[in-house]
Amino acid sequence: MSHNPDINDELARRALGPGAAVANAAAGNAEPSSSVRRVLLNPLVVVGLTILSAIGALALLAPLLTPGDPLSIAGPARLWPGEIAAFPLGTDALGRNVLAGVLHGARASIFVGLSATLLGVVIGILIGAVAGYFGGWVDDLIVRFIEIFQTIPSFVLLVVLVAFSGPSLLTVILGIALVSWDVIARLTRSEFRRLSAQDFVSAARVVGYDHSHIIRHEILPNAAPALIVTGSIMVASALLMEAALSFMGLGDPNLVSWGSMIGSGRELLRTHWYLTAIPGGFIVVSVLALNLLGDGLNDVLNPRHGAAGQIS
Amino acid sequence: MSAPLLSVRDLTVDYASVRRQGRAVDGVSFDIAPGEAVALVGESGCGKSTTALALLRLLPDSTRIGGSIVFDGQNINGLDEKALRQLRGRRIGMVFQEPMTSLNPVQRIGHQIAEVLRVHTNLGSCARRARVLELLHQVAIPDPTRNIRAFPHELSGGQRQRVVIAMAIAMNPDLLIADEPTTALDSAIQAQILELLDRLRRELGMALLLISHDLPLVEQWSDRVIVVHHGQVMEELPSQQLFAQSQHAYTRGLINASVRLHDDLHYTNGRLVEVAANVDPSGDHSFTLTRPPLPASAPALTPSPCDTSLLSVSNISVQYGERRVVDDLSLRLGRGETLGLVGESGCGKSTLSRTIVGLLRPSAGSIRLNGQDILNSDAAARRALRRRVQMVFQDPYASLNPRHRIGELLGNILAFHGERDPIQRQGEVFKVLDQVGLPRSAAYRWPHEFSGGQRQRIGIARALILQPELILLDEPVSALDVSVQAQILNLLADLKATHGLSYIFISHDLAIVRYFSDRVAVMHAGRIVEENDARTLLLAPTHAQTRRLIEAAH
Repeated sequence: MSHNPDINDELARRALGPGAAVANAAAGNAEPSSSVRRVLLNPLVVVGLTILSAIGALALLAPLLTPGDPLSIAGPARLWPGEIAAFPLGTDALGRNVLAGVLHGARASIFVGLSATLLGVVIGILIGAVAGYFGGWVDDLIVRFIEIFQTIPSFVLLVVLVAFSGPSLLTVILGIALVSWDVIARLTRSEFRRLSAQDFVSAARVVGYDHSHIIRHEILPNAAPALIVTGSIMVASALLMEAALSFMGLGDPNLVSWGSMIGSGRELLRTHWYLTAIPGGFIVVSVLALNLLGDGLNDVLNPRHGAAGQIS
Repeated sequence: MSAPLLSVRDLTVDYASVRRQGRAVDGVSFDIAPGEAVALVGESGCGKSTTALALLRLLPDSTRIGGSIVFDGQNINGLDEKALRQLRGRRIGMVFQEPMTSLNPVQRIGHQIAEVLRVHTNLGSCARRARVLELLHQVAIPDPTRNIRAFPHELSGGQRQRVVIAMAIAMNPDLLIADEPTTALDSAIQAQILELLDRLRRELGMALLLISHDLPLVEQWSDRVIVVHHGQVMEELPSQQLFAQSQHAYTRGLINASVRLHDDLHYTNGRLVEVAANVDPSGDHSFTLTRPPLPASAPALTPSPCDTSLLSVSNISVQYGERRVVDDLSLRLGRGETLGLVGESGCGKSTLSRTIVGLLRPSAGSIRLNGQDILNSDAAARRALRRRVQMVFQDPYASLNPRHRIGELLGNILAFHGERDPIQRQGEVFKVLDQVGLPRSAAYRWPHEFSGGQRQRIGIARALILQPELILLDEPVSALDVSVQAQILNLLADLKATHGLSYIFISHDLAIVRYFSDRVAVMHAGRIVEENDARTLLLAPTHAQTRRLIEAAH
């Protein structure tokens, strides 16, 4: 990176010290502004983000575009898309508006995907950081614990968890977080192990920083790119897990989601295939967009893939 | 001189990739006669390695190469990939700096050497094995019949480099290019490897192109030296004349900036010469040499007597698992004193320094600072004591967190230690940047925007900002170029005088230790085997290990 052009802005904006560092960490992570620019210039990221923001906007506007309860009967049953202008995507076996279902379903799917991932990432980072940073018997213990989760087929565990505690939005989110934190925990652990051995961490210890300061301000910002990349892929898998649960009837019964729409359209697959194809298409496009985003972020952010976050 | 084996004329190399752009080699011309040893010498980034890679056309495709490279009558610059493969490995061998990365870690070394023979010859497997054994014998690998089955990690660094050399000479090449072949090795091993290269050159009648940053080394091991800077040849002269009769200002600067063992220079009686390159608007480089004056208030020449010792380390042992790395070691350091700590790699000197700054905990013994026990005091007292002991690390790239601006990097330290006022912190940061000779604007920049020397200044600023009494310098200049070394050593000497600092200076380079230390301790196998004032120790060593180190340094 060349000399920072807006150094005067920076001068005015940034006081020296931890206040600034905290503000920085809150804004994402403390990294050169140019990497944000590089992320936004990556074509994969641009395509992924465009699709996701379009779906996100539709989800946000759902109550305006299709007011009322998407689960209530709105018209004649089994209308094909375009058959009546009021139901551009048709109606299902009970006469519910498919468009309303897809839009409101997006809200549920995205909400579950994001919050389950967020929860899983937070749990994973906490546990992985402790294991990777402190090492020794703590590390051994945590690694064994992670291995338990890795050896159990995660979807089976998820089904058991949700079925046992009764399907609701909360249990679905908790369940997905509980079966997906181990991925991020392993990654965090290995990143922390690698980074802890570096001289700048030794230097931080020599100037007297305590463990919590070193973990939060020295190591985490350097591990962040890899974690962000994995996090974006995890959203996609959370979304798929939610869809699978709802398909099996283990989603929140009071909410429509893409998975539950596929589940209820399944019986009419031969005669009215659009009832499964439309929500299915939304799932495919969302997951694809999330994967594109993840790949793009990986190209730009992951220091182990050549075009590093830091080039000296 | 007979017809040259290799003749390079007006070689230019331009990088045009995303990562690197611009001219790296700018009109370099030289000849190498058959059997001759020629050295390309210069500092990092001067284009010497790029030149070597250009000779074998090993540069990325985006690179543009101009000029002519004529090897044995053939212009390499015009050859296709197939003809190049015939040259590489067969007529021209190459040895790189880091032996571990040039060897495949999961293959036995015998197999890797045989692979070269398999590609270039049609020898049967028995004949290949015989040749591999012969080569291992030639490069003096002990017990070839056993070590032919060794994996790279089972060999020492020096032995690995011998294996790489065996691969390079397997086809009896006419030219061997060795790019910093000993930089990653201990000084005692360095001499052995260079001796080996020299012997092979004479036995096999091959020419050697030695690429190095080390002037004394090339003086000893080559016939002719070519001094390179910013991609241009500064001077070309016979090696024996390098130190005595070089004319060019840049060469003189490098020579004066480097310390040699028999120089009678000490930090108390003179600073090192700094060479500065100036580029005038027309793009020409000129060089100025300056020897900075000693600070007006010269430091007390004799450090305080031992009864007022600043640091006293008594009978400490440090263990990694079963292995005892530091073994019942004691040392004292007077206030204002610089103690040089030398020893081969693996002797425990880095472990000792990490124990003193508190990164490692000894299994036995005590460490006292100003008479206070650091290890057994309560947490608050320990934190207060720890501030008084700081450290400068060897690698200026790995020791700065890439995600903090310099202002944060330094300011956070003050904030953590209770300085709440941001204005006050900023003032302190600016002050310490002034002290280490960096512009104040450095506070707003990221670590990767700085050169190695500048980064080491930042590392020194980090050590200084808590106003310590003792700084451990763990090979602080060994990763730096000679001219930058001189600047950093001068800076450290000045800081010592103005702040009344004490140093423990760890280095494998005896000449620098001799210049920079008041007293020198020699470490071997976790113990201090000899300790004396710098000059006496080097003139009259008593311990065999000290003599070995001195011999290797010559």
